[in-house]
Amino acid sequence: MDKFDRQVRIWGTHGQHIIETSHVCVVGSSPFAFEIVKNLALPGIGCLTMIATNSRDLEQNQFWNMKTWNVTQIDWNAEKMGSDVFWSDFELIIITTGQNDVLKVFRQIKSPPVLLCSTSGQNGFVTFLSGEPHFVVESHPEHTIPDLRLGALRSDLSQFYSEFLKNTVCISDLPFAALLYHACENVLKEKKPHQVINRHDLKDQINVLQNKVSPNTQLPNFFEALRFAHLALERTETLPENVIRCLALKDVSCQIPFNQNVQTLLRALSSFLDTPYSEGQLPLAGIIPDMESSYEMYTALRNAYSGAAENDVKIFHNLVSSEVSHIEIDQVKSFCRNCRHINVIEPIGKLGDFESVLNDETTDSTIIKNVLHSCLSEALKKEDKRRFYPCISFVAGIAAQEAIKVLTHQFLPLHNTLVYEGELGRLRSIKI
Amino acid sequence: MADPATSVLVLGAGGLGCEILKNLAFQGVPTIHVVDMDIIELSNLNRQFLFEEKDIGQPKAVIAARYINEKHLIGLGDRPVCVTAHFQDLTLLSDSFLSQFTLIVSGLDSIQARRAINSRLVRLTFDSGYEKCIPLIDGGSDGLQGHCKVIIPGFAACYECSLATLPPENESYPLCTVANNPRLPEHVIEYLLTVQWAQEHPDRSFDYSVDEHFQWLLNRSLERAALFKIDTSKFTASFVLGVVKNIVPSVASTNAIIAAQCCNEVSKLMYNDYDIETSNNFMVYNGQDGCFTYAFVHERRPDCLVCGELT
Amino acid sequence: MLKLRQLQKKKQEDLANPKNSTSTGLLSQTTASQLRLRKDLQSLDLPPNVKIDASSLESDQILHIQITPDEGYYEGGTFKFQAVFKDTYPIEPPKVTLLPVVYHPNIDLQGNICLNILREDWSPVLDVQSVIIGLLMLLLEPNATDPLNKTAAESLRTSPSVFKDQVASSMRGGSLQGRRYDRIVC
Repeated sequence: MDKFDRQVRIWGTHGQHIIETSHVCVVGSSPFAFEIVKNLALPGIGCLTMIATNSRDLEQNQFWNMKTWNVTQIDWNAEKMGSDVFWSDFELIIITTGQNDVLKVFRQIKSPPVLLCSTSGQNGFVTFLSGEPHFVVESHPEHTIPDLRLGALRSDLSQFYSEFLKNTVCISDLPFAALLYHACENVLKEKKPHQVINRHDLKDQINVLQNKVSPNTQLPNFFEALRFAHLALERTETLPENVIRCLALKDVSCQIPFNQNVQTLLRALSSFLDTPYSEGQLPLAGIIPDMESSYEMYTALRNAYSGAAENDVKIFHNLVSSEVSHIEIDQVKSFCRNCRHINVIEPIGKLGDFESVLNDETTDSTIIKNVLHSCLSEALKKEDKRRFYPCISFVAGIAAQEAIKVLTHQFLPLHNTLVYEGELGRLRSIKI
Repeated sequence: MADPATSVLVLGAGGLGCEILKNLAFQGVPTIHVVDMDIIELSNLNRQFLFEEKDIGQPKAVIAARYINEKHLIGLGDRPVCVTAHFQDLTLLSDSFLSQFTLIVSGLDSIQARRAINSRLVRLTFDSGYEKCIPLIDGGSDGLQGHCKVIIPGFAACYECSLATLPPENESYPLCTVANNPRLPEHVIEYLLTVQWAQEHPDRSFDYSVDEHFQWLLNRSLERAALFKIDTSKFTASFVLGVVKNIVPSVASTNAIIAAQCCNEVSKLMYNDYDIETSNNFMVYNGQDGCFTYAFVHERRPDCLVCGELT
Repeated sequence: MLKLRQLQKKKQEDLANPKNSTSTGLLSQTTASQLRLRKDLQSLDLPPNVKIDASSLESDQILHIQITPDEGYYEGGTFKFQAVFKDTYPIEPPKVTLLPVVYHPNIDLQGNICLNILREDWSPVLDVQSVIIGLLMLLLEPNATDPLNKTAAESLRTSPSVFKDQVASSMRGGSLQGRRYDRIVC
């Protein structure tokens, strides 16, 4: 069993590969900065640099095994670090201090994406700064609607269903998707042209079909058909709002290689939607949920969807290749499978924009401003340092988690600021 | 001011346990005990930072305690921070041992162990007529999600009070589907474990840690999957083990967040910041879509089988 | 910890007042699952054709359940089940098996039972009573749509009268398709 087995189950081997080849810089040398470094070294960030902006916390420095983690520790040098060039090798910079000489540099330079974060006493915050949009390809939604397209079947799928039903002698073992197709067909026969099916008619028809094969007992597949009847009425030819937002950004200027790749894929998606083949619909996920039915029928249905999805990938890949050739088929496959759930967030563009918002007299701005300024005074009493240590650890956990989301482009990261109030044990998401 | 005589028992020296121990040490708790019956494995090292590769095969509790003790931290009242290890099953701890602690923090992965310690602590309070009352702060993590519960016997909801809200630990499928109509890889594995193993080996129970048993499962999975036209490429050792062991995904950052929340509650209790009867005692965390926490008061159940009698 | 200690003191004083001490001694050296099981058994309300034997419950965590249906295909048969309650109860359901070999569409020859509440539809709010009622229903109304014994299910579906004869013969210890069943009628 691999060392990273437990986390690969979250973001896959491709996510792990990104982590292991990433360069991340943590600016700061407080206990908070050490905690973040620990949280990034453990999942295997390939190259970690820690820049001490004032004296390193000695207790922390000797507590952690910095050597075994292969962390490069260097000192802040305003001259050397004052230009874009120094920072350009990092995929992400995590600034953990409000020191003015540090912030001054980041107000001026053009840097890779930044997480600015800090804690003071029981409070803390994390904010996401980047000059370009952040695309999330695998958003891992917790609840997804099965991608069956029953409400607007593409011709390849409707052809499958119609033949499937022609060859079915008895409908008592049909998976619910096929039952819904069958019920819709029957309802439409009784309707005038251009009339739409409503939920009521559909449910009645399902009950009629069930009564034909099993008048006395409720069959589990018919039960599922009633439960998922709404899937047959869904207008899947309209694009989800998240996809539309992504498509709108397909041509804005991006420097981050990952974003550039996503934009290439988005342009291909736009062409795909224009092809007669797609009928204006997104590529199929090709994965169907389990359905009560005989395994033979289920297998036939599963193969139909996965086959149609493979076809989509082939056509999609040709569209991508016509533009550039370096995008691999696996990436195209993954994009097609997840494209219903792709998403984009727009971080705060510049540090200056963030700072100017802090001058507003809102509660959140005040908390953040206080944290940012007071994290400098090392005057925290020894007792308070001990008492509030868990708050540091909490915000450092959040910062590292968001860093990994940003690097892997999996899961929606903070959008765009998180405020932690330890006294209330509360984490709030705000948009600046 | 916190009492330098504070002593805390940590249950579990895994992903959460390592974080909890580190936090308590930096919080300056001078007397810390840790109980864990597991030994260190390679797949622990992506998050259990008190261990290194050379420690594989050693007891977690012992190595974790040694790591922190070697740092010679100074705690409350200028007392040295000292961690004592107990390499044993926590359900076998004696009442007199448990009684010595001010607080207990748990970072366990089993509902069973939590229920066991919860009922022990409630009974301690009951039997002593409230002379003893040891708060239990319970953390749990699963992927990018987690929870933290503060259990104060007789004052706030106990673990058993919230039992009905728990989802089942293992996904389960209808036996007839598993036997006659398997459609998913999980159906195949479930059949082999619940039916076929007993048919072929009526005298032995299945143990995934025995190579021969696991190999049997892998081979039979492929045969049965092929029989029912299920994609055999899904049956990697990692996937099959994940289903059999019910492996919960785990990452350092979630453990850091949940352990910090637990230890924040420890601070609040130690520094009298915690309002015993009105504070939120139940917090859930989800980092899947942005970051989200939700805290609320879980009321005691008057008919709770464990703490209902503690009036 | 001062706040907690003050509250404890108050409780201690309340308890010292004899009017307030109400201990029934329920909280003895038992696990939470045993407490729950005990409560389940106390609140059982069984029809006369169901008998339970809890004598090996404390030692082996096994509850014996004996059901003699008074109607339906299985009328007059004596069905002995064993239900094993682990410490995970009621988070996990008990593991129930039928001891004799019986010809039933939803029970296989090893005694495994296809009953939703014992697997995918289990919930901690269910109890011993629900398990017993579920088993009773399964004997009264065998179900051809969830087959574990495919031959029996097929027979029930195609010809209930043939199925009825087969069940009767199997319960007397007869053989069907070369497979001998246990005698469960006297």
